[in-house]
Amino acid sequence: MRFESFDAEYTARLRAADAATLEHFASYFGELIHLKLRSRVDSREVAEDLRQETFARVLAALRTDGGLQHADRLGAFVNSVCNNVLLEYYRSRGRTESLDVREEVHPVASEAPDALSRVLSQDEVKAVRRILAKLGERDRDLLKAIFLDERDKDEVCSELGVGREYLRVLLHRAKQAFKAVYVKSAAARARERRGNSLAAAGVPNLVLNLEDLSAKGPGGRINRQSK
Amino acid sequence: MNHTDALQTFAAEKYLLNELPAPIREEFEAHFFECEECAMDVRTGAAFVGQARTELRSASQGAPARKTRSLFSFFTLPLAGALVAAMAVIVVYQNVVTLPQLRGEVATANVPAVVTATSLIGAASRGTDVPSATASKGQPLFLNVDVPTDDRFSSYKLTINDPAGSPAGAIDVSPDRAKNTLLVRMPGNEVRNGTYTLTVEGIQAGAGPAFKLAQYRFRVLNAN
Repeated sequence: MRFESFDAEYTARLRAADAATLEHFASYFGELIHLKLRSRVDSREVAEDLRQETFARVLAALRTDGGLQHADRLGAFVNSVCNNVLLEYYRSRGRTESLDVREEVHPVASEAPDALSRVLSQDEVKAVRRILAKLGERDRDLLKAIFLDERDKDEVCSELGVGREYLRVLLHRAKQAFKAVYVKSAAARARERRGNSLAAAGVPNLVLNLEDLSAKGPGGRINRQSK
Repeated sequence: MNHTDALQTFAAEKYLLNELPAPIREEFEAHFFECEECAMDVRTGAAFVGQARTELRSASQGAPARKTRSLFSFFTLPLAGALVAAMAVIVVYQNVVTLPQLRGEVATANVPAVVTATSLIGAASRGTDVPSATASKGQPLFLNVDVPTDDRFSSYKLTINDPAGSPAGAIDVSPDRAKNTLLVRMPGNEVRNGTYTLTVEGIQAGAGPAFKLAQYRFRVLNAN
């Protein structure tokens, strides 16, 4: 959940390395970048490196005069930087195809959660279990075949006698059923983050990392939690 | 891609299922980087899929272990063979004697029958493939329809329009029923050749306007 407006004040706080704002920025865009990259690169580690590089470049651009001309387009800017980072990665591997051509088969979140993916709360885990328990056997088999066994969707749908639209509607309903709990947990985390922003032991170190980043320029790394 | 397009085309679900063609996928990504609601949709879906994978993996790993064979089982095998032979005799008798007698009776009675239903799932109004339903004299048409449910709505309405655009029928659907695929029956003596439209609307509690959720097209052939 955003709970922030991406405006001039927000970008000013990012430039000033405000801890809560940095935390929110990393959390909000981190997941979106993660989803975008995981379907395009083979390795979790590479995805994480590219994510860090995207963050570094965005923050560096914010510190440059005219680096981001419209603060309310921060989201589009982050996406655009991520696209550039990805293209450079492809070129560095000797690939000539564009972002459009590369077709990855990996479904979203195809591997175990990495270290920076958020671990779900107990409420969220229970909600997922409840939703799965309410499904009929065919629907559970369908989800298992697609998301766990990663089988071909047409083949699975044909076996189970359903269409591709049925699969989408099934996922839509499950997502909607989960949403209330997920949003509530996100709101609770946002409140906790705002409450802890000045008291967290990691704040001085987070500021220090940003100063290091400024010295290094793009190519440095930032961590959401540092010791 | 704008927000309405993303909702109507189930873009978040297609994205999570990796079904979007590359240009559309990039359009949607560009959209959700700026749209809070779609970003939350995608994040919620990804979180659900990730945890569902864990739960489904645990469930498949926790399947009961195969039982070891006991001494008693060695005696049950010959008994099972004898029972199978007896069943075979009964089956043959039924096929030769009993069933032919029953068939005669069934032919003159109203009995349950296997019906063919035309699935509209996937036949969104923008698609080029329009499913066809063949009408037989006096026989109803059956349609499989999915309702894209949403907690905002207290009920749903299905409206069928004939090829001329005139209303051919309407059905109110409760949220409970809408959770499952619906089997819609159209009286056969009222259908005619042409392309029909089935519109699904969500109704909010109170006097709120109906919200169009989906529209399906289907073609009726060989009607009277």
